[in-house]
Amino acid sequence: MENMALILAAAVITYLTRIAGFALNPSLLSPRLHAALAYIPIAAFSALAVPGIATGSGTLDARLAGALAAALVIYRFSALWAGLTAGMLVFWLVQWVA
Amino acid sequence: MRTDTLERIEGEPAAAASETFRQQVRLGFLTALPLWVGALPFGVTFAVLARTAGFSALETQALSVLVLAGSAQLAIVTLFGGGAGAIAILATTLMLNLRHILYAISTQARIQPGDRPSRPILAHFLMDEAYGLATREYLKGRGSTAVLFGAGLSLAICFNVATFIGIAFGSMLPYPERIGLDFIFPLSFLALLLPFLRSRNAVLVAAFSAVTVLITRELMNPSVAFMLTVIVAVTLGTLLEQRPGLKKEGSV
Repeated sequence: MENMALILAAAVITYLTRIAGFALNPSLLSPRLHAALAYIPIAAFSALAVPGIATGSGTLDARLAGALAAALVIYRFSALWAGLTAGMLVFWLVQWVA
Repeated sequence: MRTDTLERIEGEPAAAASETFRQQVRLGFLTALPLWVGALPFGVTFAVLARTAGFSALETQALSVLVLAGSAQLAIVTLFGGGAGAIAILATTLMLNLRHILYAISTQARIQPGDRPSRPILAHFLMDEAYGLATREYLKGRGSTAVLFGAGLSLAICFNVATFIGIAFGSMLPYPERIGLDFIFPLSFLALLLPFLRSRNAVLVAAFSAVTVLITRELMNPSVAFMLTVIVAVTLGTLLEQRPGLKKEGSV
C-alpha cells in the first residue's frame, strides 16, 4: 500500500535522526558545543511555540492572553497542567467575551 | 575551559544513582503526566486531521506508533491532504526531525556504560517533550536514560491512545480547529520553554529565536525557516556565552 510505504519511510527517517546523535563520540564535543547544546531546547521550543501564538485559530488577543495566562501560572506555580489549563481557558474566555 | 553551562548540565551529585531502573522509569512516566493535558487533545486533533486528509484508520495509528513525532506527523498529514508528493513530505519530515540529532548528542554526553534502556530502544522515545523533561531532571540532579525513557513511554502511550480515540470518535467530535483546541500545541511548547529561561542570555536567545522564526517563515518554507532559526539562535547563544562580561551575569 502506497501510503504505508510513505509512513514507513517517514518513520525510518525520524528514527535515523534520533539514533544518529548517539553514534557520535561525545569526547569530540568541545565546551563551546556543550554551551550550544544548552541553547538547543531554548531556541527550538521558542521557534515551535511562537508561530502558533502569532497566528492560528481564534483571535490574536485571545492567543496572546492565553499565552500570557499560561506563562504566569507556570511561573507562579511551576505546574505544567495548571498552566496549560489556564492558557486554554483564558483563550476561550477572551473569544467568548469579546 | 569549563563554562557555567557545563557545570549546570552536570548538576548536583545524584541521589538518583541509588534508585532502581524501575523507579526512574516511573519518575519519568509520572513527571510527564502533566503534559498529557496537551498531548491528548493534540493526538485527537492529529487523528481527525489525518483522517480528513485521507489516511486510513490503520495508517493514522501507524503514524503515531512508528513516527511518534507530533510536529512531523502534523506536517505530514497537512502536506498529504494538500496533495504534496512523497519527496516534499519526506524532505519536510527530515528537516523537522533534524533537531533530534542534537537531542541525541546532548543525551549521549550523559550516558554511562550499562545505562538502560539500550540506545536503539531509547532513540525511538527521544521526542521534544520527553527530552525537555529529562533535561530538567538532569539539572535537578535526578536525570538518567531511564527517566527519559519513562517520559517518552508515557507520552507515547498517551499520544497513541489519543490517536485511537480520534480515529474512533473523530466523526462525532466538533472539528477541533473550529473550537481552537489546536492552540494547545504551541502552549505546550511554551510550557516546556519557560523553565529554561533562568538567565538573561536564555531570554535573549528565546526572544531572538521567536523574532527570527516569525520573519523567516514569511520568506521561506516554514520547515527551513525553523531549522535556520534554531541554528542562528544557538550560534547567538554560544557567542553570548563566550563574552566574559555577559558570562558572569547571565549564563545559562
